[in-house]
Amino acid sequence: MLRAGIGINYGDDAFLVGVNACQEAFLKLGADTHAAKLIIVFASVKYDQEEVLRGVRSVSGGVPLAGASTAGEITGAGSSKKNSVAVMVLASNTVNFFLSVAEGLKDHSREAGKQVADQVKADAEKLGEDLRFFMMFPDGRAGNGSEIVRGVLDSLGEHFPVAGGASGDDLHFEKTYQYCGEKVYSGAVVGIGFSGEFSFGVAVEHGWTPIGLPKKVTKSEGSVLYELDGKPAIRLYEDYFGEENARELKENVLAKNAIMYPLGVSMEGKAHLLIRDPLTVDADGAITCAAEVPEGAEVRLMVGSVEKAIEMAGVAAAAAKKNLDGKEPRVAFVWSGVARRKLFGERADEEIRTIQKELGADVPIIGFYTYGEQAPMNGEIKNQEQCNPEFHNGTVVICALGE
Amino acid sequence: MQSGISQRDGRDLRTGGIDLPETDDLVSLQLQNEKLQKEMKRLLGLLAEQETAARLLIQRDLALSKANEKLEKLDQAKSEFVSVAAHQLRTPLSGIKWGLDILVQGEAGELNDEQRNIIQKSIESNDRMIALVNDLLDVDHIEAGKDAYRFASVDIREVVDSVLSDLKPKAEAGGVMLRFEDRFKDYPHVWADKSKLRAVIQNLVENAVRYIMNTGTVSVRVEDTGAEMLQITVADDGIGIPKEAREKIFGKFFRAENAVRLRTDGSGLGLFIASDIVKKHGGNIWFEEGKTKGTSFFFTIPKAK
Repeated sequence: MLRAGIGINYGDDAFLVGVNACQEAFLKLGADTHAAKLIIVFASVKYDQEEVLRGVRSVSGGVPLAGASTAGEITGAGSSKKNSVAVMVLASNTVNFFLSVAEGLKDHSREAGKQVADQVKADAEKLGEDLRFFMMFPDGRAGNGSEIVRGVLDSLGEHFPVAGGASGDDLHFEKTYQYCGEKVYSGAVVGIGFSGEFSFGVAVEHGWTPIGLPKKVTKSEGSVLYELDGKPAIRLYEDYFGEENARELKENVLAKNAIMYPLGVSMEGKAHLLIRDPLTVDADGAITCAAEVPEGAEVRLMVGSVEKAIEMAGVAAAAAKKNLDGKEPRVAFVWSGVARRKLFGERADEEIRTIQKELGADVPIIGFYTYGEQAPMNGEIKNQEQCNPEFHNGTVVICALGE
Repeated sequence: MQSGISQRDGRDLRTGGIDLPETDDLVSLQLQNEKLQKEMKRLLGLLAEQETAARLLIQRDLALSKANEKLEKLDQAKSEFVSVAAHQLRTPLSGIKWGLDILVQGEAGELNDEQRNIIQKSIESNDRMIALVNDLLDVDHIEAGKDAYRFASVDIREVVDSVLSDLKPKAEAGGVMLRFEDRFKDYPHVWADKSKLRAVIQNLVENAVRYIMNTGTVSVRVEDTGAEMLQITVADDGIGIPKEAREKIFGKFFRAENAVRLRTDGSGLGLFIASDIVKKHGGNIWFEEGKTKGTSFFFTIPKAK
């Protein structure tokens, strides 16, 4: 048995909002309350984070808790218009969950990724359980997301299925938070290991296509892209946009045209393109992206549209459902890149509606707008050799759990 | 392996299988090389063209989206202006109506026939202005999302009856017959906001009457199409909708060219409001042109469960 109840609440009093959201989640769960095994909390940074958790804990008993702050909460009701707290209670007598957290992402991203997965793995082994799936909420502002994913895979194996979303802070790009147990962290990664009987389907899509010739990354460091083909990185945009139009990228964080035309990065020796959203541009023309752009990689300009991006969310939902091998989806997690929300504007709900329609109207949905998504390339989880988890930008990742 | 043994294709194995070219071959190689270089040049040219095309495409898109933003801002400013103007107009128009009503009723002194006639005409003009202002305010409400709906089970026949009996005197005076086909059939109730549903039907019938130039008939038909919806048809034998107007007819402030020319009144907002109401009920609205003349408007509205 696998069931989920979801609640969402708004207001001024962080404690009360936490209480109300969690109570609603339990109410929706109904008769299966006694089997509650995991609480997931996604909250706006508008609220005092500790107070939110205190509120949730005050009505959730000792059920293990994990979660993250967001750049917008997502539930089946759509994309939250106000700053909210969304809570999911997951009940099951066939699935086991193992929670852990590791700090120090800023200086030791890969180590922290390995550490959090090691701990989850050790806890599962202690109970003689085999981990089948790993969900993660890394800090979206600290450390190198790609390295965190690599660290997790160092521990669990190169092709282990991983999915998740990096925490956000309502587009302030200052400080984001992660929740594990009773505590609020920052600069940390929270991991949840899944074992037992369930099926899961993961899909990742974006809807952007490359245009123009590839340029080589000749100088970069982590997520800072200094030079392409030996010239300042911003030249790429100036070249295609014209200088006047490219100026917006220097003036705004995650500028509108940066969202519409993100970068597509292909790693050496790999065919697929990873989307990278340009966040800021400095005076020397270096572009800081929302994820790693390694030296030697090739970069292309990507083009897309609101319509295509929304359409691909439906494609992702259908693929995640199909991956369940005929099992019914019982709950779905949605992680959509923050750039998508900014791009969609008032149409953000269309993405959620499209997803809900594909999954089925009764499937509870929870998720958030992220500062980076984690999922295997192409959502591949069936063919283990091809399952290659990555840290993405600009995508929508859907993870359906079924039985 | 012995020396001097050739493979079946004639290549000498002593050279490791590599064909060493004869002089003739060298010439042909050079030719090939030139060909390849030419081809390379052509391909590079193509790539450069592609880059230029990509650049043009992107810059055109950027210009378009800039222009769009400007238009949206202008549209917003226009809407705000219209909203403010409509609100400001309502009070003085009510004042005028009050004054004219007193005058025409003779409460401010006896009027002769000519005076009464003039004031009566002024009242009609003023009423039209009030209707226009009300339409503008409706649109303003729709756009601000302030149009609240109260859904309930509604008897469609009652609504059609009430609209037709209200509009009958004026229509018949102008030579237009109003007909409710199959009035006595049993129709399932619909799930609707009664006053809003009434506004849709009234709007379609008034429109139909307006576009009949001399004499004619407007008929309303209700059909149970068997599915979850009732379909309501308002058909006229009027002047029809010009081809070029058909796509824009449900837009804001739209009036067909022939309507303007023929000096029919109307704000150009009625169909915009009607289609918004129908959509908010979960229904559809559309129209079809008659083979020779006239237009039929259709809309669907969900049945009450």
